[in-house]
Amino acid sequence: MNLIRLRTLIYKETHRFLKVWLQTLMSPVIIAVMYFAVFGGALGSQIAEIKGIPYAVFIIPGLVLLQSTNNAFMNPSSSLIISKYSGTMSDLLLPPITPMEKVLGFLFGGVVRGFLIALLIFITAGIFTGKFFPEHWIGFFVILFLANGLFSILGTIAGIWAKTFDQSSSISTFIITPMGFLGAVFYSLEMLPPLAQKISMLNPFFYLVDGLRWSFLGISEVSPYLSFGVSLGLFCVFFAINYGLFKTGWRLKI
Amino acid sequence: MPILAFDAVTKSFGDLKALDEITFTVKKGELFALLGPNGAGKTTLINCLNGLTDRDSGKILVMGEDPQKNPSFTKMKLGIVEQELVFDHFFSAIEILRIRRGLFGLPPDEAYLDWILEKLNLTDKRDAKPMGLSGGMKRRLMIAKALAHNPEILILDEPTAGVDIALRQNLYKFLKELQKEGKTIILTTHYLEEAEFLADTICIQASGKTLLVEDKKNLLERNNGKNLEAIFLELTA
Repeated sequence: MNLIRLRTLIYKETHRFLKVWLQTLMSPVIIAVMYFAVFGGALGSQIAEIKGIPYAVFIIPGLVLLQSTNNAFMNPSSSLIISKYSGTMSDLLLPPITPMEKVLGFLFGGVVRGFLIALLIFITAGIFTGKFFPEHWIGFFVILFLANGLFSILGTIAGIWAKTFDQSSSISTFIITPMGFLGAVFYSLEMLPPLAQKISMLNPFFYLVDGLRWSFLGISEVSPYLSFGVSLGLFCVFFAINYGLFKTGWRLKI
Repeated sequence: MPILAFDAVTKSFGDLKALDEITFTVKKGELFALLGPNGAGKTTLINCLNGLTDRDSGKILVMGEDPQKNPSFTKMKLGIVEQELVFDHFFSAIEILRIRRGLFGLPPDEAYLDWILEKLNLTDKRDAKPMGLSGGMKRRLMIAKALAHNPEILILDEPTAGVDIALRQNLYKFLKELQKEGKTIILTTHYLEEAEFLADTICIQASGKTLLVEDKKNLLERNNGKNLEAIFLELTA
């Protein structure tokens, strides 16, 4: 592993989005605030508390993950698809960057973007609710890393696979966004009929949200061990797939 | 030992045989012109050399190493100026060079990068984004990018397309300077007078086959005063 190469790739992947921060950072924060105002403010007054937590506070972890993971996904996927279109893929293929450096470079690019957005949304939500600090600090950072890391890896795989912008955005539209919304972001499993509860538990996003909710609020629907275990398992599986794709050069070489 | 060696290199895309048993060698320090009409297989050959494309069969050696078996060694030795003008438009000229150098795993060297920009008449565009550069400037920035990691072998795929005469002369001077420093240069070009002026060795390819590899002086002497264009047209007609 050459640290200069890795650092440069991370620099490239982070500075690209920091140069257009209004679009990449502020836009998701504004969207989250809108959700927060509508669901937490307007609808929240109709729902008193969930597991002893005010509704407006209950939805914070889910809202954070909805926006941060979506952006962690988009960072590498748009970078790779733009490279394919503009011809700058050779910037990635001509230097002797190893598959592991490529995986980590894109992973950290997405994670940094996801973390910054998460941080901004937590602060903004804290201003409205007074809840700023997590209950379990280590778990909080671990699950935020696993969630944003997982989606960053998924974005990299999507960017490698996609041949067009349309293909790339279709994954986000038809898989990532519905998975997020149906991952118990706005509701507790207890509010669903039994069959819907079982279906929700098949959704990987549910475990990310529940893990973050446990670390931030101290409440959860399933054991935090299960949430962290599922998140770590998925992270490792897709990390290995991503490594394999970079190693073979699938859909990247001419 | 030649610095570059191609031995019966073959590459097909479906039914199209882009490279058909290409065989030649390049000596260290020479300026080697790789000529051929469009579709001759020049770019495919360069892509096989730098690992962007995997060859079907045959052997390629870069300073004794196979690019498919030891890519980290061979990639460090090669600087490729691609035909397309491709840049990450988020970054300025100097940032593009810094990133390219960093991606090769080398520590920053501002003095070296500034020297390249100066030699390519781009000093005043150091902080400009690619979108603000003319076609000729972009072409020169492509050369600067390829040189950012100070490679031993520089491969230029149509480097003077869209570059005006004065700047082209400047570029020739710079290439000769690089050659004097010991760099090996491979040039593909459609400007045959450029190859005739610069090259030590001429290689003509057509339809994926090597038609000729010869020392330029010998080639011109053997053809009794015909210029390279006439020889090229005779061979590729």
